[in-house]
Amino acid sequence: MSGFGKKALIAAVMSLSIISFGATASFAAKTIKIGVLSPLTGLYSIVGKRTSQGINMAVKEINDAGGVLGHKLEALIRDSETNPASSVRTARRLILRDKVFALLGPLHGGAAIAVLQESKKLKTMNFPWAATEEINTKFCSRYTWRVGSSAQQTSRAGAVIAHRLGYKTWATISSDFSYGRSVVRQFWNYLKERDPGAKRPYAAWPKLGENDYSAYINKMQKAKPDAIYVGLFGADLIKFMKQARSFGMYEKVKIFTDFGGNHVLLKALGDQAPFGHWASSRYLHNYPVSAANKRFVDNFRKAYNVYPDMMAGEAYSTVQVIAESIRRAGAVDKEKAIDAMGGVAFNAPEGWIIMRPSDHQGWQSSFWGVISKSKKYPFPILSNIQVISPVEGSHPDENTGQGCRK
Amino acid sequence: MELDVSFWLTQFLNGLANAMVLFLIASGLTILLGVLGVLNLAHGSFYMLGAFLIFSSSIIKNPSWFWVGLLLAPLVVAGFGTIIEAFCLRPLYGRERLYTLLLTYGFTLILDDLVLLIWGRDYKSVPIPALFEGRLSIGDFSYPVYFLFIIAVGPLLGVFLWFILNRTNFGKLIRAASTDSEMLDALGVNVNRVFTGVFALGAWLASLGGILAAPMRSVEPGMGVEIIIESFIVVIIGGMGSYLGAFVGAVLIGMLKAFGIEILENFAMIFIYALVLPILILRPRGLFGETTI
Repeated sequence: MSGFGKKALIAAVMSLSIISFGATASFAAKTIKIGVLSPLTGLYSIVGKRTSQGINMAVKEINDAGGVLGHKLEALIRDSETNPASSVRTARRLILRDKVFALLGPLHGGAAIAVLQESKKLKTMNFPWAATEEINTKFCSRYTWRVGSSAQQTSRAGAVIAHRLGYKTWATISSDFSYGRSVVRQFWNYLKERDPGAKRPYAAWPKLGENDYSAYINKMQKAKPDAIYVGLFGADLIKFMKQARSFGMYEKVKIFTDFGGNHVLLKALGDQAPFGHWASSRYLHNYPVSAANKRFVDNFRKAYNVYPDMMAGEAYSTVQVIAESIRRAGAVDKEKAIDAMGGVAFNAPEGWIIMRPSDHQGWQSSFWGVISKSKKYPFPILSNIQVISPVEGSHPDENTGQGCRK
Repeated sequence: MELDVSFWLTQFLNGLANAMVLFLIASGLTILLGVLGVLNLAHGSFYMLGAFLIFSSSIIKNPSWFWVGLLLAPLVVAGFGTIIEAFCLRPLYGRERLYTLLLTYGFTLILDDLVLLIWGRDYKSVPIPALFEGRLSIGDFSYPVYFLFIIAVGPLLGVFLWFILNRTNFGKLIRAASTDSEMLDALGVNVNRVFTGVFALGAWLASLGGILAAPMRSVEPGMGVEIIIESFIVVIIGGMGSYLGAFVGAVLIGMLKAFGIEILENFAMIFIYALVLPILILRPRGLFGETTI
């Protein structure tokens, strides 16, 4: 009997070692693919370029440090063309043919919602770049997450600052589409909650891509506000600022811009930036003054010879958070990584980000500051930076994340 | 309620400033349609090129940058227009209009990507020339000097165009070509050269529009496609081939936009289409046009 036992034992050990050898072999050969949708062509291609740079930097850093659980990361970056139909097509190809582990993007709100529904069907985690609040509420699912700030975080933080500074009469202006509307709605509702006496005699909703804001500016001046809240972004914000400047708005009212603290924007405006006025950015290269941020800015400048902007920071952090969820799960498994995602904490360049389980949103501080000239940089920066904690800036738990557990 | 004079005056001037930029683009578009019978979709791209060239000259750290750009950039764009007309458009004149439409549309796409290649993807902003900084103030009323400059340039160019068309030999040839180019050809005039000249003149005007608009707007690929739609509406209203029509049409559109937001703020565009519709039905040749499109 003992002979048989010995044979059986040897066989067992041998087969086990074969299995484990086979397993390690396939482990080592496997790379974790990350699919990325971003506007590489057209009007928002500057955003797409910075996104790609942030992604590539995170991938390189992770791989240089030995990968995730011994696996290399690989980014597959594709053009989203700012178009829902082609975004969904590309998303399907990335998931079904390239077998990506996670899908990042796209930026355009409508395309993002179409893609997140497709990712849900194909059971792949998706991190839209779009900041529209519906992504954390009615369109949320087990597979939908976001690391960067949502529209509501910066605009609610804006309301906190506005209330602190005590401005009473407001005018608002934002583009007439879902994100633009949601930015101003969040700001205004939260300000009214904190200060029921606040008045808004004028709210302007120019179309997205409007060229001439002079008629709106004239109406704004007629309303005689103490301060205005600007939800415009990108080239629209540049146009508005230049026209507001020539009409003397910089001297007449306090201006709060939800998007105006972005490096690429301040750099473009240069001497025509609204100095002394308030602005926010989801990421700042000069704040916080932390080791993580300094390392990120230094490496980014070394690699690309430019300062990282909002999307670079968000893209970088998103890849890092996905890697962390895989480490937490202890296995390269799509579902297990999602189970481990809630509660993932990452020391991002902009400060700690914690993935909130209730609404799948990266919980983080928001930054508002005053647009200022700088001796250190050849472009305007934000100074006198106010940090608004997520406790103050984010939606309370019970008001958000309705769809996330489905 | 007291009538707020400075508010309405400001709104009026805003409409006028907007109209003058539109006029510069629409006038070239309409003459091109009248003479060549070409609906040039790439016309907006000349506007874009003008804006990008003035951006490049704004990098010169010298107060004269604006004047250098204003003088040279339209010539560069006109030269570029000449090449496009002579080598790409001319072979298509005998064919159906659809071909020129497709070709010029192709050029808008190519030029949008070309400016990305040359000028990069960063946001661009052109400063207001130092001479036109600040505001003109009379009592309560104050208005940006740069907008007043734009408002002044429009009629000046209108007079310049009138002079070219009515008082020069080239103008006579243009008018003759728009009536009967075959007859003109038979009389021994090099019609091709007239066509090229008209195309270059249109490109020159459109790029001037881009230069004037750049300090007030943004400089980005795709800006041409946007403006071409409004310019085309101006041409429909004013009438094909009529630069006076382009002027009146542009002013109408500018005013409708400026005062429309007073009446129905979020639907100001409705007024523009409400104006176009009856014109298309009742007077398809436009207010000042001689033939239908």
